[in-house]
Amino acid sequence: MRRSAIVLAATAAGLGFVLAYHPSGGANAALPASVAASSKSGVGAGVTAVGSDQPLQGGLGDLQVRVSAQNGKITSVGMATLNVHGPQSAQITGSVIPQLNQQVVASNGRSIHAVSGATYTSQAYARSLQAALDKIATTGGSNAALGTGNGNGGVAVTGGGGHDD
Amino acid sequence: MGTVVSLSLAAEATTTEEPWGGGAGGSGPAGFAPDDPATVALARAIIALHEADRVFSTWQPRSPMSRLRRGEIELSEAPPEVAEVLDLCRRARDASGGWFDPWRMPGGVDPTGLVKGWAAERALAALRGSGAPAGMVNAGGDIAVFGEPAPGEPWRIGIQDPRREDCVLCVVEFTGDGAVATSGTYQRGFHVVDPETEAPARELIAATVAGPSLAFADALATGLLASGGQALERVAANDGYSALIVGADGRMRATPGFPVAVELALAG
Repeated sequence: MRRSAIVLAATAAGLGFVLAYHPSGGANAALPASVAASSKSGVGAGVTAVGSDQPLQGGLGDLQVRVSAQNGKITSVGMATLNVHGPQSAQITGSVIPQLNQQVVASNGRSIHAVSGATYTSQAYARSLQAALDKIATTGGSNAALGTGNGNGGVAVTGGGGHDD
Repeated sequence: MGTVVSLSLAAEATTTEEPWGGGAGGSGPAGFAPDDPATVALARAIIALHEADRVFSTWQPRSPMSRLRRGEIELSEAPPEVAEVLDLCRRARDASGGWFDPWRMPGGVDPTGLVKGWAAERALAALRGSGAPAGMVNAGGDIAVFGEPAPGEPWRIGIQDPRREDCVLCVVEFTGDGAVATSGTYQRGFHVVDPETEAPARELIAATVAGPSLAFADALATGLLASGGQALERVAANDGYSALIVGADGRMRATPGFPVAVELALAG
């Protein structure tokens, strides 16, 4: 059975959020087409863009959604950035993602799916192992986990742009 | 600032021969499957998180929770989930032997120690609603999962080393549904208050609780940290719950049910 893992990171309590999710698994050897959709009219429109039937009110900010689709089905939403109207927003960049500790990868040669810790702030998140996991997941890692190394070609979604097959 | 929430949803991958759209190079036309259940579920999960923040934020002076704390509104005037959460808080207070006590916080009743886990559970319920075989929500280190990440495989969750942000202490495993929450003094300094002395708790630098409910695990981890470890047996006496504590000296203790699969850095 093949599965695609969708990983997304968002800040909730501070109402800043950066999200990205991607599929992985053998089926994705066929690269998906991508389509970019963006909304500048607030979260409500953005959520509509990602398919919710619930309008969101509140004017939290602009939401950009980049969607990858395969065979008429969404397989990933590449990157959505909510630019919060306020001081609290998170931008997670590669430069602050830590190097993964080898001990994690070496834990019986098997993957871990998440890290539990007292990671309260987006700044702390940016330095966390969980961020590294998410980074791997959104840049073509395998099954959103560390250390599986099964060679499945995930789809790099954070870079944007469409894929040709 | 802000709690970062990582959502993970496993879905059966569609096996395709043709790229979607049929256009040149598979470049998709505008428009995509708005009914995709995974996408809808993720959107709903995000909405649930923001809604929880809107209602419960003690940082936003106009949130229903803040207004309740100031006595501007009665509980009956607040959204119904406030009463639901406060009821859970009462049960968690009992389950922690009184160490988790939102009613003994400075500034009035403060359910924050339970709300993050509760909100993550709501988000997980949204993911579950997609019909996906597995999913996970990690709300700032508090994690709830359902299903199997891959057929026959358990969820494997690393427990952060409170002294080194790039290390994990151990790996716990869950088969099927479960939750794990960690409270620590190491991210914000000493932020958990001992309700007995109203002084910051200092004996422990981290407390992790595993169990079926993330709202409860979150609250119990907070209480356990506040207790300096005294509540360890009481917390573990709750059916389905187990715990791991890390002392300021690096010493660790786990209760018998704690689902450690791999020990990496058992200190002391």
